[in-house]
Amino acid sequence: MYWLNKKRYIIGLTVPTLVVYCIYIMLPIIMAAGYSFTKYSGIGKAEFNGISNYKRLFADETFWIAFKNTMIIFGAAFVLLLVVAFFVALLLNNHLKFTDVSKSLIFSPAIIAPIIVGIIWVYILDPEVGALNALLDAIGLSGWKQQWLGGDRLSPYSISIIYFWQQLGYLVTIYIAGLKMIPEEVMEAARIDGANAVQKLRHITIPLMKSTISTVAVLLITGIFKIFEIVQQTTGGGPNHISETLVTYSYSTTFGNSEYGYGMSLATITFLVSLLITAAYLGFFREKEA
Amino acid sequence: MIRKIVSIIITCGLLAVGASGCAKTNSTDGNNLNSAEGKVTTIKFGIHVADPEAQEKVTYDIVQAFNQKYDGQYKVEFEAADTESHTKNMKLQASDGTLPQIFWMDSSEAPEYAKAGYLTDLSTFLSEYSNVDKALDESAKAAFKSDILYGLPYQCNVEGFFYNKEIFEELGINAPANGTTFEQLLEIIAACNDAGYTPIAQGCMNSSYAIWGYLALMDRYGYSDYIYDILDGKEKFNNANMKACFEKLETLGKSNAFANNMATQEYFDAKELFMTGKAAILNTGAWDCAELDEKMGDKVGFWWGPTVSDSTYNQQAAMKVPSAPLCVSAKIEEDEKVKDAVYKFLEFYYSEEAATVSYEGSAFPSTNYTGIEAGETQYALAEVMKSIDEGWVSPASQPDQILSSAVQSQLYDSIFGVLLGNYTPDEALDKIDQQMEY
Amino acid sequence: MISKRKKIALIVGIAVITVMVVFPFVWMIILSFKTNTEIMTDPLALPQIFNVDNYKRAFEVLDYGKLYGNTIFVCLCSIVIELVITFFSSFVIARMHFNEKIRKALYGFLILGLSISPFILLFPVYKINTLFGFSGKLALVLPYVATSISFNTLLLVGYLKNLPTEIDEAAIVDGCNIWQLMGQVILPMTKPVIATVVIFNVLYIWNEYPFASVMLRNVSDYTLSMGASFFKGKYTVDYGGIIASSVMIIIPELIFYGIFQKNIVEGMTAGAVKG
Repeated sequence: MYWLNKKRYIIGLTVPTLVVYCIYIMLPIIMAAGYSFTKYSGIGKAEFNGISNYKRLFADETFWIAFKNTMIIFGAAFVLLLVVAFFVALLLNNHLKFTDVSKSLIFSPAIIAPIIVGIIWVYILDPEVGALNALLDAIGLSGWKQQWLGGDRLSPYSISIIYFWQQLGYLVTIYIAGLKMIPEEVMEAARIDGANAVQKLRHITIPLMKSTISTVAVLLITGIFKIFEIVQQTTGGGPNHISETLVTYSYSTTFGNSEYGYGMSLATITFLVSLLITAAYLGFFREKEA
Repeated sequence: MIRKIVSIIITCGLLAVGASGCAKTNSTDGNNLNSAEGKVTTIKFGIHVADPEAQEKVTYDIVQAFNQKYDGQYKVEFEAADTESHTKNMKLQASDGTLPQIFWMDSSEAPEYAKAGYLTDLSTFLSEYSNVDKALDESAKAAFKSDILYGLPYQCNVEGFFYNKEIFEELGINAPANGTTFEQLLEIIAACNDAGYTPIAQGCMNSSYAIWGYLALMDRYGYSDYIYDILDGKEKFNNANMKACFEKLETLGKSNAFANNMATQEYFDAKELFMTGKAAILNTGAWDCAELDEKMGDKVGFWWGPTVSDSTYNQQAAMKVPSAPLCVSAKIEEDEKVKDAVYKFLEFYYSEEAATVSYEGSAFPSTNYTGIEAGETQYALAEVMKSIDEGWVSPASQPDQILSSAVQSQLYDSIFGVLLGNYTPDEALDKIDQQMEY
Repeated sequence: MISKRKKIALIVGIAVITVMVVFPFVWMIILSFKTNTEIMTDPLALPQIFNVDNYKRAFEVLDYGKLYGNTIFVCLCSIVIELVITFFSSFVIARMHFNEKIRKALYGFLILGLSISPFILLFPVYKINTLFGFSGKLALVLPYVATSISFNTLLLVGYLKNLPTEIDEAAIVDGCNIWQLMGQVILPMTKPVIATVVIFNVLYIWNEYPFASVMLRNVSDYTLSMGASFFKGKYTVDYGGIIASSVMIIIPELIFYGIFQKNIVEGMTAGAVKG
């Protein structure tokens, strides 16, 4: 255990990461937070204005709409993705030849450029020219037609579906890596002992996957709070901010309105909320793990 | 293992050296204006599209012509990026002193650059080049003036509504013309809806700026008269006139003037709807003339929008206004050769030759040269010119361009809010007033 | 070993999911063969003729050789640096012996970055790069490395923690020093996760747009992701060009994913067991 205790290595091996991280992530976060206490257009000088940005934020109707939408997406997508990706990974975790192709294909949505994602899904979900409503018409379910996008209620749910579609393959890949870690011998032993599929799942697979599930959960939580391009390309946060999410709102305030200071205060709050929820999840589940 | 450590250190070292090496060459790019031999002075033109040859052909052609004319002496190079990236990049480059010599800038942000001292005073240029001074109207010279003259118009925006002549012939109703009233417009809308045409093609998603046609309407309620009072705090946006204006917009929305999926359609989709003959009227500006000529030929007409009867202001309001400014970096003052190159380019840009190139590309230059006619196949341009020749009065500046970015965005949001029925006129105007307070 | 019935059920299940997920993607490819007008007016129909005009235009407007070259360069530099440093730091957090509290704090500190939306970092990172005098392609590498730290740490630590400590003991008893332990014992066992990390980071960088658009000034430095921006003017949009250029970006990514997935993630199950 000698080497594993050597302070020299402990510090030396972490320093490069810490240096890059502090300079390019922490410092910018501090700078951004700093700007959140100013009035700044992005050009010229920033005027310090105390906490007035935050006061404005909490009174801002649009902020609460964005917050609500983000939480809806969180509620809808988190559990859905966490669970479904797991089962899909189980499905794909075999040695059938064509699962390789399948994996590539299921993964493909994660790498399609956001602008294309927007084009495609608008053509599916658009209330007038979209494929979904056209399909409903064709099979005689016209009564089920909705304003999937651009209306005043369903946009966050549609965003969740698009996010689900986009992230499924990504999360499945992580789950598969985790599944591959379960030694064959353990599974063999279980089968010999007469365990059926469900028992294997409950008593072996899931417990051994705890760390992977945790990883996926963290990625999901933080990912949902960063959703940006999907919303921008399908609804633009509109109309009239109805489908705004926290990130699209802070982005449009920062770069569209040239209200950099206020935009940064929105971003800081988003960051903190995401952090809190992640910490809460880890705090809750870490105990179970230990 | 020592070897491993050493090799890692060497690799990192090499990367670092490579980084600084590359960094040096790249960072001097923006500043290296004069070739060492001293012959050709190159200046950079920061343009707001990524592919100027395809997307800002007129400007591209003017630059090519200039480069040809001053070959061996001056050269203009584009620094091109799509509009959003361009705006971001200019902000960043201003802060580290690498702004291009000339650049297009959004009207609501240019004043900030001027305030921060990044721009040069163009009145010096005008005083030295009286030919350009004469070629620009007072409104063109006053549009971008605060403490200094910080910009000259890039082009001239002419905005209103195009309409599809064929549809109106088919419906057997009078096509809209300058003088058509709001009530008559409502009848047109009803007729279009009955026949299955979208009355007005209007995109709304990520197209908040696409409110051009309504600007003249705002002026018919006196906007340009009292806007400066509003900006000074002496008046509010939510006043009787603006409320009446917004009520008209609300009525448009309620009368099904727009497609049902307007909220998910962009301005480009709306244009397509119009060009494929599914919509009767398109809310846009003269920049689309070339495309309209190509796709619709002589089927296209133009009008300034509906007049109203519940306003005391001049109803014959047109919208032919300076577009966003071209700004010049203050750094050109540091180098005589560069300054010369910039001035010569600006002279060429505002020359009659350039104006001709403009018209050929169906764009309106901001200069006032007369006698340039539209070409035979420039139907849309000809229609617009017809409207201009009727002599309706335009404001000095485009109504939304004199607002700050944030207030401008709120104005757009409010207009769409009433069009879509998401805000009442009161709510919409109050929002703008509130934004003014921040 | 899997029963026939199970096999069929599996195949059907996978096929259904695949089709549902892939349908939009396939549609995009179909769209890339349509003219702009066709795309906008009748998006659902098959193209009149499968014309390759969009691709031709994409090739004319964009210098694909340069774009691919730049992207690969930035990718390689970033991946090499980030793998090295995050492997080191994750190894420390996951397997070395020191104060528990500090370990948790360090881990939490490094994971924080996941909650940050990249665009917040845009302006500050630009200013920092200017301070250091970095610009062009190399100015992208460090920010990319930095943004990968949180993700890499999350995955690597999660994986490394689960490897039994007996391995370290055995190796050290056998006379390994720290470098041999990391490089020759632990590293080979980490291949599935490293492959996953590489895949995700490569794909992220390949598609990354905000940082690239701000740091890269010269057209000769542009990466692939900036290709689509060439087709969006102020008042015009060339959807066909955008879609065609996007397809050009995605195809290599899919191939890369396919190869990596198969050869590395799969191939190492034996290693993980025997280890």
